[in-house]
Amino acid sequence: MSGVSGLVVEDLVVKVHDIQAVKGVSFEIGRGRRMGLIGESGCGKSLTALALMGLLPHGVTASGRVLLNGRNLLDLSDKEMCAVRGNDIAMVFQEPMTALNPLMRVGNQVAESLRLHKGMSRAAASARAVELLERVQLPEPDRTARKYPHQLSGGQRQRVVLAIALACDPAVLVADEPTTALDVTVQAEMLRLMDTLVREEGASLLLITHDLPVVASICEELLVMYGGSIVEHGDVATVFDSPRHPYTAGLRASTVLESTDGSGRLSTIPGRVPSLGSFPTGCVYRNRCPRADDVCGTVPLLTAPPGSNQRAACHHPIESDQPLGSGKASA
Amino acid sequence: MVIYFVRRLAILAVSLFAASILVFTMLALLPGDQAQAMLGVNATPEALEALREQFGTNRPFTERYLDWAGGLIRGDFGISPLSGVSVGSEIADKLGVTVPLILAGMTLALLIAVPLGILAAVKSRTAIGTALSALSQVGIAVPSFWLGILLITVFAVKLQWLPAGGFTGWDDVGGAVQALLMPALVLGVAQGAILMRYVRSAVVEVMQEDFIQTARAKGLSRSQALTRHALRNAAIPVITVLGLQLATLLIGTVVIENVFGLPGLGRMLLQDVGNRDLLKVQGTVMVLTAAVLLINFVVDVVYHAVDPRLRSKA
Ligand SMILES: Nc1ncnc2c1ncn2[C@@H]1O[C@H](COP(=O)(O)OP(=O)(O)OP(=O)(O)O)[C@@H](O)[C@H]1O
Ligand code: SF4
Ligand SMILES: [Mg+2]
Repeated sequence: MSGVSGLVVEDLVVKVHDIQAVKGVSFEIGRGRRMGLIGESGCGKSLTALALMGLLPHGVTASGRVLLNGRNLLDLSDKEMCAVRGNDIAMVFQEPMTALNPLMRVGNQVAESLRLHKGMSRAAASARAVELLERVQLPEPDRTARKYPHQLSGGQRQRVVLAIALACDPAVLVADEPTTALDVTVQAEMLRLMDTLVREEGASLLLITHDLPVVASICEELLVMYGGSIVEHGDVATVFDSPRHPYTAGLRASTVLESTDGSGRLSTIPGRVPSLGSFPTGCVYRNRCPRADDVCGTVPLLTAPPGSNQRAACHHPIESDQPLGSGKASA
Repeated sequence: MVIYFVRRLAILAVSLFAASILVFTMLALLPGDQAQAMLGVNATPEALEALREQFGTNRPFTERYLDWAGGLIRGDFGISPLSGVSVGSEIADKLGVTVPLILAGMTLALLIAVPLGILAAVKSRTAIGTALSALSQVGIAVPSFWLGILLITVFAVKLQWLPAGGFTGWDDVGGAVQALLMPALVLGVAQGAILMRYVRSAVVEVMQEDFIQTARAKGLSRSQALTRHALRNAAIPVITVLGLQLATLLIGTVVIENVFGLPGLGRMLLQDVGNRDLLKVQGTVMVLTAAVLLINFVVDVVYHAVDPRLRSKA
């Protein structure tokens, strides 16, 4: 389905103390492919990303397999992982305002990565850092390299963060809501830039967001996450146009309404995302789902109908001849 | 940076001027003057007037201020009418005890607080971290005079390695150093324990910042992220505390000076206040104020050197 394998995640479980926040997630991003990961706040997107990077906070642990270049990253020691991070797998974070060291010139922050992984001399790394700043389309890259973070705008800082992430040509780039904190106008530019660079590098991209249109504009495949589980997976266009999982349909209805209606009232899925550990047994979406019945007390499997690769974890998936969201999800 | 330095220097000069007015006015407004203090409540008005004439304290306020402030600029603090000694050289003498004591004590405090504070932060979730935090709590809780007496008992009385107290001046450098050794140790432990808490919490806080995660995502190890990114950032709040400690210690060493019988500035000030030696008190308070202003000046300049965010605002 996705050519040569880039990143393979198998049965990833992330526990916050003893509670499963990510419940056995599996997916595969082919080399050079772009995968979107969406879901409401608190559904485990960031924990998934941090687990891939081996940067989970204290008290949070990961198990399962994260395979990159034939190695399970979860088996590596922190020392071994240091050689992988920033080199084979890199990450762009949500908050450009705080993601850079305020006391260090941005050029040096980019160069640091090159010196670390490529063993470059100070001078060579600095020169390459300027080139990278130019690649992320920062104006006057040689002058910008000598600036401190506070002298740059949010969008510019996020470009620096992107330059740091791409410095060593990683095979996988994880971007956790890279545009959420930016102005709307800057968002589109940033996304386009990321898209271009990832394509040029032939890197695999995992783009995390809670914004469906953003994913649709960049990614080929889409993962929908809810309550720590993947509830739907497939080609972006298919999932976006005819979602099978009621949760995806609800997400889609809220974004479509938001962009077309304009009357101000934001349509969201009724009910709230439960807090960690208080999701219902069986299907995680059961307490909010308009289609829920007794069958939903058992955990649904992530399966695709014959002849399709659009997998959904639902006992009563929406069939494509039914009206979108079956009229219930956006009630 | 140079512009900032010059501007900050100008601010320092203005503050010193304002401080001199303030110190002079405050002491002038106190009920009872030097003559009253010397002759007591039963003095006749004639005797008081005669003494004031002799001291020059019956002249107009502005004239007396200009006289005093003019002297300060030349380094002349006047002669105490009460004790007949030169106020300036008395203060200089005491500073010769207090300043080396503070410098040695705070150097020791830094040597204790920085490595242990960082270690306590890095190991904050382990037994070592807990033990170090507890140690710093104990260091803060132990009263300085008690530690001083303990040291005297062990090193002066039992082992007889060091003098129990007193200070014979800097002509005998070896003796002076010996005399300051235990007091500096007491000061260093007490202040180091306080400073260590601030170092620890500053490092813990900075290590949770987003840019540390960025650094880790680049491939830096935890210790590389600490040394290359965290420490410089953590230094900023620690510098503030260090400045405050230095400023309060100028008279804050009085307990230690008393335990070790050191003729320091704090001790002299207490005695002068008791004796109503107003000109000496005035001179000493002025010197203390100037020292605090100077410390703040240095702290601000260091801030600017460390933090580029301040530089671009200037
Ligand atoms: N360090 C932590 N300690 C305890 N709970 C945590 C921690 N990090 C995350 N969680 C919990 O794990 C769940 C998943 O969090 P995660 O950050 O992955 O959500 P998310 O999908 O990224 O949400 P958002 O869109 O808000 O970023 C949440 O319920 C969150 O409260
Ligand atoms: S399994 Fe049941 S509760 Fe879960 S999404 Fe499907 S219909 Fe709704
Ligand atoms: Mg998140």
